[in-house]
Amino acid sequence: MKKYLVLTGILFIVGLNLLKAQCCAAGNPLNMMLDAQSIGKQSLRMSLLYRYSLSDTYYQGSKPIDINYLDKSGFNYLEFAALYNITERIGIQAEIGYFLSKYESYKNPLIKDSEGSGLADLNLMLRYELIQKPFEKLNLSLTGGVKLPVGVFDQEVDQVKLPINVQPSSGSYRYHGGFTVAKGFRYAPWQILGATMVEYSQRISSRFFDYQYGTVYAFQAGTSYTFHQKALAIIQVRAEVREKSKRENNQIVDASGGEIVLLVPQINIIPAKNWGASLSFSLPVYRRYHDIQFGNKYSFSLVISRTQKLIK
Amino acid sequence: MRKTLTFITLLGCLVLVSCSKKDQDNLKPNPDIQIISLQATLKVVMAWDTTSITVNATGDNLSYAWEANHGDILGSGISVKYAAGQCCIGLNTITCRVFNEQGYAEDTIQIRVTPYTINP
Repeated sequence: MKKYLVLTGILFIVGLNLLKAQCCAAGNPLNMMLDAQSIGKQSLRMSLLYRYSLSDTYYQGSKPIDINYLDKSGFNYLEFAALYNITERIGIQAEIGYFLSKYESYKNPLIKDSEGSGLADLNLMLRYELIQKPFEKLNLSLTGGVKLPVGVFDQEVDQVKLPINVQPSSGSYRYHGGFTVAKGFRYAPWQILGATMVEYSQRISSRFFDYQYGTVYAFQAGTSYTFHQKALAIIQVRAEVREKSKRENNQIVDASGGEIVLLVPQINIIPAKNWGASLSFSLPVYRRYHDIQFGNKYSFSLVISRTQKLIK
Repeated sequence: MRKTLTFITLLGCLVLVSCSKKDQDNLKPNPDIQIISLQATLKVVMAWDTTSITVNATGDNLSYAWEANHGDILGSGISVKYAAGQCCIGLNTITCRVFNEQGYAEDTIQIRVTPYTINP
């Protein structure tokens, strides 16, 4: 049973959702579920994630500022992910998201809310287990992949194109790479975790729109504690740094990007054999946006997963 | 190996299904539709302020579609409001497409968004 705890318990979620906003919205979730340890050769893990995010305050740098425009923005997001380990060390993963709703509401009651919904981006990822030392409880894996803007990026309501902030897809090809490390201790219920990731966005260049999101760097560190045979708690600190975006003619968008630090408490349980469930909250504890931007208040995620050995 | 191939095939199908967008933009220019004017009450606005944009066009059974390269279009029909945040400072283009079942006519207007100031 402890093995299952380790396998499912150290699944932790990198959610680069908080700095994704250009200036006015909660942005795209861009989830990546990273595993600190392998699920085993020729095993398949499928998971379903739900995430809710809310933003309701403008910030100038780190300080709240009163702007009479947006009241709040947020999203309800579902994501299906499948990870298949071809060998003990190599796994492939696919994630496809769907926005149940992605909205902005305005302080002016005469302005109708903007709301989009639909298919988001597809993330394809390759994972390589560089270090597997079960005796030392040490694991290091590398990941790399591409996010394809297969979803909706031209959604209209009443023949009016919705703001980019509520379009379900980011509209951009994005390439990412990173690593995850986990270290446990013999006879101890503790484990330490770390991860880092870089994501580069390709320029969006269409007839009406020319834009490039800034590169994102994410770092996270945390610890897990098995407090029950079927339950485990994780606390993480996550830092995200986003460079400024660019628009047409390589103009820098000053009101984009910044730094944010989040505290992410999480609890994982095993409701049944081969099943896992996880609930996490992301609470910003520090932020410094460039210029004035609409900042995230909180988000939470729920993940249900099932791992199955396909060949016994 | 067979299950690996099945998994990869399923992924491929997912990509193909996801990529198959329907094309809703098959209309061609229609010379019977004339855009007489496309005007804004203000062509320079501060971030998060609004300006009204109105199109005047001739033709039968007209519908109006709007798009901004940066910023928000609020409302719909022959007159809309345009607003943009600090992220959209600069010269932004708003496109209005007037269309019916036979085709469309299109025009653009540019609005400059200036930085937000607390006491303008």
